[in-house]
Amino acid sequence: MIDKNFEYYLSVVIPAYNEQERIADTLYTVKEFLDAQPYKSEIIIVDDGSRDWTTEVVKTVDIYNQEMKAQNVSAIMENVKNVGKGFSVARGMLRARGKYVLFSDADLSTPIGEVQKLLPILEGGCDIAIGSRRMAESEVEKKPFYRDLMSFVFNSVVGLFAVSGIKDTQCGFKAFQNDVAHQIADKQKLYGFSFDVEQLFLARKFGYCIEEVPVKWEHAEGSKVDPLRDSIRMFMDVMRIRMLHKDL
Amino acid sequence: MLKIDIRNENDICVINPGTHRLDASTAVDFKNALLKLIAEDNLRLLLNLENVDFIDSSGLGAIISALRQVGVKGDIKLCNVAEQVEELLRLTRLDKVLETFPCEKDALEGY
Repeated sequence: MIDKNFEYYLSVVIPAYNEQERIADTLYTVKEFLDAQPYKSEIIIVDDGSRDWTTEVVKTVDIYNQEMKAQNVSAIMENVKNVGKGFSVARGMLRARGKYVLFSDADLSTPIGEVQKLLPILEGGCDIAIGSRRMAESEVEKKPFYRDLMSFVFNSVVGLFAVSGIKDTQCGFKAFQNDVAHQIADKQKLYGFSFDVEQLFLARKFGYCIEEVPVKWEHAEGSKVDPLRDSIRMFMDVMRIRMLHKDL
Repeated sequence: MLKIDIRNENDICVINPGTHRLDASTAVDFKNALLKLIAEDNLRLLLNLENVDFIDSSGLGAIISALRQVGVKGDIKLCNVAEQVEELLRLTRLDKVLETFPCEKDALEGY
């Protein structure tokens, strides 16, 4: 698993906004998992202008893990103001130095261990492996009804207007080859919750291979998505994607 | 320069950092003082934080470094912890490894 072209085998990008209540558990869990793997890895936390103790918690957990467990420190990147999840993910992806780049939601709705299902796809030469909650083999804990409905309607609209043939564009667990991650993040223009769709749209435009992989998914409380406001915004974003990239 | 009050109570080294803030501006001095005490074989430390009303990752980092130096031979406990300090301990889950007491008397009895 050593590739002299890359400092790390895996980079894990985690966007965080006002996540003080759970970011410590997330970081302890991810670090413990990565520490047990035979490869070198890095964690990049991008704090999206949190107004709480997110950054201080990350820094403290890092010091603890470094002092007591001799683990590597995470990179913490702070947006000077709240810009959006899409911006944070792109910023983290551009900073990633791993051969493979995973972005994962801070709530670990998809457990970090599921990356073991995505990595073989990338090892096999595919450019992007995305976690999916909508495949027969997916193990999905029942979501609140409104989120299930939102997800169904949104994926249908995405299929019609932006990216067809992908069952679940919104799962916050996607892995990329490093150069693919950098190219897509560099071209990304949407900074909100619909950035996933734009990333997949760009991937298709560039002719990259995308493979959906069934993953586990557990509902975590404290979602940052506002069902009404963000749904409207996301639909409008999806409609704009083709216009934003008409030069490609 | 941080003025730190240090005294011994029944084989427990009670340390009172003479500052309201344990942050980047004071953490290095505080950490060095703790590490010096540990190097002199003071392995049972009680940090009386009655004057400290703000702590950040640097301040907690100083305590974590000291905790590592103490190792299994000793311990570090805290007393008179302000609400903000308690909150950061909880959020970082360090409240599981750093025992806190409401006052110095309780801490000395419970050590």
